[in-house]
Amino acid sequence: MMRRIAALALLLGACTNQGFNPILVEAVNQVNPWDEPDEAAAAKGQPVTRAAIDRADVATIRARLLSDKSPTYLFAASDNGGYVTYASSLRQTLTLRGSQITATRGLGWDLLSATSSQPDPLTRAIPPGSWPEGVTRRYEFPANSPEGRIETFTCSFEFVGPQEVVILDQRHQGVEVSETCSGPAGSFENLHLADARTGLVWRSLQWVGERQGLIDLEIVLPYTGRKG
Amino acid sequence: MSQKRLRAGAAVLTMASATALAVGQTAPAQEARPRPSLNLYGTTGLIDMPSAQAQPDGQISISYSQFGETSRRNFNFQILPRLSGTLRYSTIKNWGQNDDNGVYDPTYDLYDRSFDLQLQILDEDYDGWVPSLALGFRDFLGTGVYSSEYLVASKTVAEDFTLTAGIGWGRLSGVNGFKNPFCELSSGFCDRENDFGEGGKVAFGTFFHGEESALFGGVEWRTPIENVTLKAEYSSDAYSREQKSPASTFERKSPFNFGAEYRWREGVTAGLYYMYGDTVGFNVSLSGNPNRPLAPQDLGTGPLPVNARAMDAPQGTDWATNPAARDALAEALAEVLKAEGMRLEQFKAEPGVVDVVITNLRFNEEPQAIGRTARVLSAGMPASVQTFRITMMEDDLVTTTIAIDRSDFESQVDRFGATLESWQTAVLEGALPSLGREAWVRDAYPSLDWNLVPAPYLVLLTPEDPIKLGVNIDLGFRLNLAPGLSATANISQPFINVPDDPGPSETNLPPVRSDQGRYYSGYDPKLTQLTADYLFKLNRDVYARATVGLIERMFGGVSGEILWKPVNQSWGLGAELNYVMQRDFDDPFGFGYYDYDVVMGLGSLYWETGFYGLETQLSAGRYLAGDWGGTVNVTRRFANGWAVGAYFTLTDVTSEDFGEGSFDKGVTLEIPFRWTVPFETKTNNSIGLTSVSRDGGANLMVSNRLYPIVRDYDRYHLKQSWGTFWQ
Repeated sequence: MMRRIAALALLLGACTNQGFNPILVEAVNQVNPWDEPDEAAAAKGQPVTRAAIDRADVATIRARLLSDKSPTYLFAASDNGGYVTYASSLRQTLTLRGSQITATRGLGWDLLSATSSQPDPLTRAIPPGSWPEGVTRRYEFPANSPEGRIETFTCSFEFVGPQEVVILDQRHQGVEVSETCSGPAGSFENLHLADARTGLVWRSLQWVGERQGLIDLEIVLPYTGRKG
Repeated sequence: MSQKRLRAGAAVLTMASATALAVGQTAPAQEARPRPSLNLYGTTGLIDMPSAQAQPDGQISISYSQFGETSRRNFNFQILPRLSGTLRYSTIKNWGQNDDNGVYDPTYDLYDRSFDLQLQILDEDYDGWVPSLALGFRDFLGTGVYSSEYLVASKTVAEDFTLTAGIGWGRLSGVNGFKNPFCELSSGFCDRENDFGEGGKVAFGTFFHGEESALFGGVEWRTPIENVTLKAEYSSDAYSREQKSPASTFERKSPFNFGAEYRWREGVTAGLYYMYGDTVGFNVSLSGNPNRPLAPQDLGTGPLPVNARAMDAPQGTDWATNPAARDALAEALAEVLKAEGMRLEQFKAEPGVVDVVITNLRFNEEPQAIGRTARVLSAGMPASVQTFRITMMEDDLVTTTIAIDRSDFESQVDRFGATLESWQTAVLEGALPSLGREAWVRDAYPSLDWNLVPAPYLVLLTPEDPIKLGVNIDLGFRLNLAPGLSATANISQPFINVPDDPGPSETNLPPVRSDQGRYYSGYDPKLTQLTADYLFKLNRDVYARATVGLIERMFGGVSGEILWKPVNQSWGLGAELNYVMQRDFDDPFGFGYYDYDVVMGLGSLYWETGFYGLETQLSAGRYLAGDWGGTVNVTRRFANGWAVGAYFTLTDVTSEDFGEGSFDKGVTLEIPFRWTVPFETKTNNSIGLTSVSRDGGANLMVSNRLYPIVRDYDRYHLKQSWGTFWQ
């Protein structure tokens, strides 16, 4: 039945000398639970291991929208002045400055860019005892003009207590920090787990927009700079 | 340490818990106010009465309401933040009227079109005492069945209650009326004429006229039950005319109406009402906003990550002067761009500059295609290339060239505020007609494109049938012979709900459009287009088109057009001249039945006002029936491709010769498919809500007019959607 529906959708979507409308083909494939190549299914089932990550020696993060069941691995693909873009196999991308998410693409509702006042322990690791009381965060979202829609929030940090986190078999002793932000557009709360010694934020729940909500970010293998 | 913090801490560890959702979501600083509800006229209001509230800017709603013997189909658009318009098609059964022989028919059903405008005078101060205040004009263009004006105020009290009170004239003065206050100014205000003949004219002479005015009002309560609203109103509409026919079953017994509405989800509302002490009514409305897409804005593949060039990157330029190396680079570039959704048409390399001509096949907004192309060039071009010149092609026409400095691009990518900086540093100019002989050109000629598409069509607001839905199967061929030169053949096979031949129309003019129904009738395949077309540029700012053949379903001949539209200018001029003959409706190649030919054409001024996306087109000249006149077209165009427009044409054809509606006018709506689906597509759906097809002010339908082709590539339109450049 599903095949018939898919075929009908393709038919209704028109055919051309270029074949069926490729966009509709993609859309139908998205909803069609059949016809998945065995190799692809097998590949999906292969677990990513710490050993494999270490062997590849490519900076890696894991990210998950709260609506998703499992996280996606993204690998460092570019570095522009400290803004490191990580890409998934489907080329969804997250751009990070340190551990701060400054842009998202392909996840639903794009965060165009973001910045923060300095010092910001998310963009540059600061030992927990030296964190500032707060920071100012600015986010740029798409708008019908080149300016974008800028939203500004004043954020304050609050230490919750020591906490341990395990990211892909690697254990980190850390400190849990809550970050409360408010501004003219509303308010939200981020949560971070910072390394107890260096202050590197290994894991955090970060807000990336009113419509996109929160992203659960884990640093699997930190970025340490461009090679060569 | 608070309990909340403990939960938050647990959320960090589990990250998937519902608690995380609870603590992390944005809490809007100010509680978002619910969108005002619609009444049974499709305008913002109570049940049958209007209110002074306004829909969000750009909001578009369609609704269907019915009670007693009245049913209404409404299209409402918040044209500007303070101005809304409503187009309506109503059916009133058992209206009663003389038939063609002058004999009174009590069972005559009235089909009536009407148009309203509402102007917001004051916005409500939710923290103070100032109510919202609006002035409305109902049915001021139609035949006057609902002709009325009102001044209405609304105030929200206790958060969930909205009180409304107003004063009405015309039809809204029918219950417990009092002397029209304007009669004190002039006795002329006491007379109100409600016979507007063929309709379609603005009834200035009736505004606020009539012996009496009356008060109306009501209350709306957004109950604690989620999504349920209760309404009660006192209506000043007596519905006298509806009860006049002996066959009418509607009896207005009370001025009070009561109702409940349920908002099933954002944009979908249904209501049930007890109307005028006599009958039950209902209303169903669908509403959307161009600025709030139904689908997530971006679930596709992200842009290519790019790195800045290394300081010590080789700066050699030999490749640019080596044809083999240049062609190899072009071929590779074409492959990568194809995967990104662009087609490389031409490529030219010089030591410091590369020129690419691309056709955007995927992205709804052009700057996104420009940005993605720039990323591919940044990733793939030798380090010695300092400038990317990207020329956009549409329908075989080169339009605008965007020059991007590579160093600027590299210093902007991924940074905060890059969108604005990239716009400020991009240089726009009209594209040259050609890149020259040394350019690499896609090997595409001759080639044949074809498509087979089901073509559902919707005919709305005809006098006989409010909604007519049918399906054709359209087969199209396009033979590309050379850049800009092509031959097109389109065949339409009627498939579902095919109409019979309605016979010749009654008209005092050549039946250039009133016989349109004949051309859609019967199951024989229709040759809707068979043309040779040549589109080209004369210089950076001037475009031209020549078309010969069977240009449209009803006419064939020769058509020529020229357009002057500099990229950095908000206005342009166009001229079109046609010699056409009317085709036979039953013979694809015949011209003998009507034996009608005409030389016609229009000169046009196009102007992008820069005000809320409003664009105007003013045209003047000779129309298909040989009549002389002009057309005014105003369209609000949104950055994402939504467009809502209205037009009217006045010619030297008298309103009597024109027939119902008095003159040609209509509303157009374009909805980008991208707005409804979470993936990129350039497909658009267009709906025309035109008046009845009449012969006065009729224009030739040419499929590839120049301005719609080049419009999206000028400075104004690119600026509106430049936010997608880095997406």
